[in-house]
Amino acid sequence: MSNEALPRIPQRIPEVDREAQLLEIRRKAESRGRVEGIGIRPPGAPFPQASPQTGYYGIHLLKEPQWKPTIPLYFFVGGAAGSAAVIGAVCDWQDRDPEMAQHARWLAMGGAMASTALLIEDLGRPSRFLNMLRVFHEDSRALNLLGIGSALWETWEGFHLETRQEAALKPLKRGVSGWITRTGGVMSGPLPLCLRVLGGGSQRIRRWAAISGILGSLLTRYGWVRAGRSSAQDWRLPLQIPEEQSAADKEPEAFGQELKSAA
Amino acid sequence: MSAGVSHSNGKRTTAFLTDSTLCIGCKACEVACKEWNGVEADGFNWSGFSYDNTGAVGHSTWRHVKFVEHTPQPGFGGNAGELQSWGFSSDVCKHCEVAGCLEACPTGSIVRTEFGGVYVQPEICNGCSYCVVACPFGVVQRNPADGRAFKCTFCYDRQKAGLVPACAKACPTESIKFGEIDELRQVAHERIQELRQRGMDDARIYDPQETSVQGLHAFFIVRGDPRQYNLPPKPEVPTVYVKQGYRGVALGSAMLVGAAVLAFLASPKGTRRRAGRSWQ
Repeated sequence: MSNEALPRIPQRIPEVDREAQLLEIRRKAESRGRVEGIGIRPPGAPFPQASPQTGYYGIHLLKEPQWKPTIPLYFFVGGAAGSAAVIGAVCDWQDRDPEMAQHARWLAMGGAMASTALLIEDLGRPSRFLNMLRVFHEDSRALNLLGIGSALWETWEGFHLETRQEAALKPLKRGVSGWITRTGGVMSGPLPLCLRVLGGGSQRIRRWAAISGILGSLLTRYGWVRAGRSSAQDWRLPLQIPEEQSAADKEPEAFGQELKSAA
Repeated sequence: MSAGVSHSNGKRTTAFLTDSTLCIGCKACEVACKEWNGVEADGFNWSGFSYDNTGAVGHSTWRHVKFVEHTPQPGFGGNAGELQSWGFSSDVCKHCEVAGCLEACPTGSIVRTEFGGVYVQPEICNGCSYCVVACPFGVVQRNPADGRAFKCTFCYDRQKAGLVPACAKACPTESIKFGEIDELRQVAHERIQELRQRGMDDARIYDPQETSVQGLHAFFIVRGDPRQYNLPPKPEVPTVYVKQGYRGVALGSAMLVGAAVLAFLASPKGTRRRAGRSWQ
């Protein structure tokens, strides 16, 4: 008989807990000459029953958020960048500490770029990040307000910057940095908006509009509220189970106690 | 309820009625679903929860049969009087009338089909997993190996071809019924009447129309408290929390701006202007 005729058995990686349980059974058998059933109970036993108090065997109803640690980091970096932008704006408005304004602007720019990278890294398919930059959302007035609103705001801000003559705005308008600011402003706001409105739904034009949007600063803004918009913070809430009654959380502990007293 | 017409676009709005009083726990629906949709295996895990080793619907389980065990109860589950009584119910994506996942999706990958179902387009999904936390029933999930989110498609491809979804077709007891939504609601009401006449006073339809979900396109007939089947009594679409969220953001921003302004106003006079550093 060849090896192919043998049944295929799924490969299992040994778990530390289960291996320790086997050793425990062996130790008991050696010392007492017999073994009670407790050693071979699976983790979590004795099982909760399905009931209105535990839900379905205490299995969590809601799925856990599947975000990586890059998301809280994204929040922090993005938040720091936003705060720096506010501080920079106040500096400009007061026109007292241009050096600080410059530092704040650098922080805001670096933070915005770093947070973008962090957000993309978290995606299951990072190469499809462009799909995220949808401006029009059929069912969400809030997202439309953010998408279209921020594009219009960028447009207005660009014109505002060009027409005002204050000294504090000079570093934003002068030389290479001036042109970077202008290009970024146009690319993040007016350009994608025009492309989308005039492009008539063509895939290629939409893609260009999205690329343009990335290079602008559109995206640091709208993740915040959405992240807080989860179904519930706790799997028990939709089932209206009081916290102290959830047997699923208690049982492993009780099992641990049992193990200890048995040993 | 406008459920029958709101998404129809001339096509008929379809629905599932899963009648747990007819389910025999054979899991044919799970197998048929995986077979037709090419969904991967769940792995070999022993849960110990009755005869259910899957636990819940997820990215690799679009139909899932729940095995609800009770203390012995005559006339429930068809067992002998002294044995544990058993109830089965096949769970599935509810295809909510107002769907949290659809509202949360930033890419437009999740759409409402012409049959009223909620469909994740795999060629657009970029795996941001916003839908996962937005689902009040814990259905949609990101596949860690693939990176995208998956859930029941309502057999969109089969429906397009005029076929019945795979699970409904495979169900040997017609516990899973498929049809036009208003007709099925009528069928459900008639079934409840029949069950009540036979003494099953605890039989009920699970179809929360009074919450922000506004009804399901996959409703259930269950006996007893729906919570033991992990069916929440008051599921809410996360959009109901959005006002609260914006209020929090507004408050946070106001505090941030206020603190920044205060910091500037409070700084001592001497440090305000550094000599010779003006851009003027």
